Amino acid sequence: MKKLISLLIVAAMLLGMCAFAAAEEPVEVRVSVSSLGNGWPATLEEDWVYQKILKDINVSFKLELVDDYWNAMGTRMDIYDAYMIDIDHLRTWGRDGALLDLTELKETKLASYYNWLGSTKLSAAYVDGVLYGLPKLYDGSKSQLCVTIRQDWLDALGLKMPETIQDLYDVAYAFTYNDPDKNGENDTLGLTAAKPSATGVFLFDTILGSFDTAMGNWILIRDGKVTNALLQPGMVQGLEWCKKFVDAKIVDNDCLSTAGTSQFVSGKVGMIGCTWPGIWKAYGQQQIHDVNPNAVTNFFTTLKSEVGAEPAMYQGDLNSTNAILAISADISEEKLDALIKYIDYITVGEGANLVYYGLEGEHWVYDEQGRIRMTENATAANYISTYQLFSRKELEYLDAKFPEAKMVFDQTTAANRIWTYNSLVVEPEGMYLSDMESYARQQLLDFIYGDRELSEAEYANFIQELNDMYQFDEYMAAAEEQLREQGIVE
Amino acid sequence: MTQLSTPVFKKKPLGTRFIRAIRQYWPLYAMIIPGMLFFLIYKYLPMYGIQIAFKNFSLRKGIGDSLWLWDDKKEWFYWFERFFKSPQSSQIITNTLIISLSKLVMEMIPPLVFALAISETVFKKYARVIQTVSYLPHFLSWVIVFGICATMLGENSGVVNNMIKKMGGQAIPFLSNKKYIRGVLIGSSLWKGIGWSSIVFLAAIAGIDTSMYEAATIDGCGRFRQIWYITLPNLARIFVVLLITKVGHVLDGGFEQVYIFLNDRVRATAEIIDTWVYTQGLGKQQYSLTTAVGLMKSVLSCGLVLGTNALARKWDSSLW
Repeated sequence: MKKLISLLIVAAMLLGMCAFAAAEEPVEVRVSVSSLGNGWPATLEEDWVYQKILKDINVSFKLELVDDYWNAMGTRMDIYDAYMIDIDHLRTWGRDGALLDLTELKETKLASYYNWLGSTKLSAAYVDGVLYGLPKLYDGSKSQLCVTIRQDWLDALGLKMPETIQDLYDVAYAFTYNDPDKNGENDTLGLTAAKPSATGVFLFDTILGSFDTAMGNWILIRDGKVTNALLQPGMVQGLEWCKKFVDAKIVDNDCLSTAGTSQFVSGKVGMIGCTWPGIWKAYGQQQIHDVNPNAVTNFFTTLKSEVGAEPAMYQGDLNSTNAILAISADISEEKLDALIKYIDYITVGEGANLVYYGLEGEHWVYDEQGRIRMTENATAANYISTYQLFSRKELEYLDAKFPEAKMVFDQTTAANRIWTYNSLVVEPEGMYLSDMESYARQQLLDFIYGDRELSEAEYANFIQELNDMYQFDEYMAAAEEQLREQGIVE
Repeated sequence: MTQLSTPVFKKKPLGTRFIRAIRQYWPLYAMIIPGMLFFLIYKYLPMYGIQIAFKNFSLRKGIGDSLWLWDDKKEWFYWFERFFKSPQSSQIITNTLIISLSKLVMEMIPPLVFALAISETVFKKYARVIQTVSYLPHFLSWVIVFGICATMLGENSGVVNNMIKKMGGQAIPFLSNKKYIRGVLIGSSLWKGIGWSSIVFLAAIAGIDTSMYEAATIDGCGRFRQIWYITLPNLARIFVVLLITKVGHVLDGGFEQVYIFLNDRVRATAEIIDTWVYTQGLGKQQYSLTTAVGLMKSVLSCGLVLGTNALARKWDSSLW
């Protein structure tokens, strides 16, 4: 009996270890993505977008999550027919010969897609002169950053919307020390940031924009020449202003380690550098009003430049994208045709509406003016954005999805940025680029927080360190050469 | 003429003995199989990939067909050299050692003291409640622990800093200052692990023969003397066993935790080997480089475990 039981236990353990292979679809295209939309259906049967596509164009189009690139590379990569990847991966994989050369297809089978892209720059999709990617559509919408500010606090203190860096300082100072929420306690702060990237320096980009620079290694083009945010003449002055803000204790230092959004929403901080959706979507506004029903938010996108440049705030990269579709070099003719069929389907007309908004009548309807408006069931279509791959007419889409925030995204997407070109530059071999970047950010923060003396001479020493330890000068020389080759500068 | 059968003293061949043992105890042997399969699949087969530490790994060619470094006109230690030549490598190694050695001490001594305190508590119900409460943090993920730390230690609205400010002091940037971050890492690790780590000690204390305590009491030993002369010597063995297993992780430093706590203000004192490898390897797809660093870590850790064990053997409390 004991033996029988142990046999059963062993059998059960072995069974548990076995993985059952999924049943195969007769004709299918499998695309790896690094994230899936919220509420992704558990089965293909429940995935009504999948079913609609299958019905309409007879392609079994499967999006599969690869949350770990190692997985994709090591053992499972060969099962995908195409990949949604970023520029770094496009380069490595392209050079390795893992991706399909699209140069010829651009003129033939993929012609309609590339035509649809219109004026979108293709530079990022090229690796060493070979076209490997289907880049994301660029339709005039740019980065979506702004500074959101508590208008009711401004009104309570009789202040104006900031227009210069001095105004920003004064407002932040008043928000900190003049009790803008009138609760009799000194418990508020001037400025925070929502930390949209992991670098934790976004807070100071709000200030450095006025000096035509930004925190860190950002390749810029000024007067037709390639330069770097670290080398901008206004940098030291900008850092001095950052230090002034820090020393006055009017910024939220916590946002270097955690997002400042909750501080802003809960009415502890009066200004936040953020991407608009977090604050301006109906949900964000609801949260703010739950805390304080009288809260009024407003926003601004730039401040006047202190160094005579065009007003700009925050860096943006028109070429960078974490969404390039690349096709496997091993794809069969049949699957390639199916994939192209899908691409043509989702770029215009019914297919585009399907992957943008969902099913007509169920998730969206046309209003009297012929605009698309979401219905109450629209949340059921939240997951479908992954199906859009690269194709989305951003402004049209935002207008339909978030009419409540139209004013904000119209202005933030049109605002001028400190345009950067890092994504088009490959570092010289042997250079430690990410080490250099993290060292530069650390030192800039040291300057701002007084761990390192802030002076022109010491800043020059810092640049010298970058050159000596990290070949920063060689990197910039390579950047200039490469951008010239690509025709970005003369 | 028939010979008298004498008792067989000669050992049978190993194969025969093995087969006989299997026949006799087959349920036990069968129960090893899943465990062995686990180690085979998840621990031994992946070692095939170690070779890319000595290759110029190409995605297209795969692990097997990528060029060996020496076929690619490079030294065999190219990737190891690349790690050590990084301007940050010495800083990273120092950070790793400081953080993980401090954690090692914190994972050994305080749980021991805690276990002693629990076992000496007269009110057993009270001890049991404390014990259970102390386990809870172990089950929280580091993301949640970080959330708790941010709420407690935040500069502007953190509970601790609010108290400091109310008492007229200056707010302390615990999470964004090079000086404090290691303390926060070690402290939060202690908070999370103290209850859980004390379980082993409590079990060992429960296993001590109570007659020893009775004898000691008769001989006039007080509480502290009992701990000193009976409890601690009895715990020495388990302490060393734990130490040996933990020493193997000295080069880890706790990726999951550090990665979450890391920001540019504290990178200089908190970046560890594993977080560096993560940004370089997975962020920049330098798989060969990261495999080399991983391999180096494994070899060193293995050496440390063997060394500690050899040392422990001198006191007759080695693991094997």
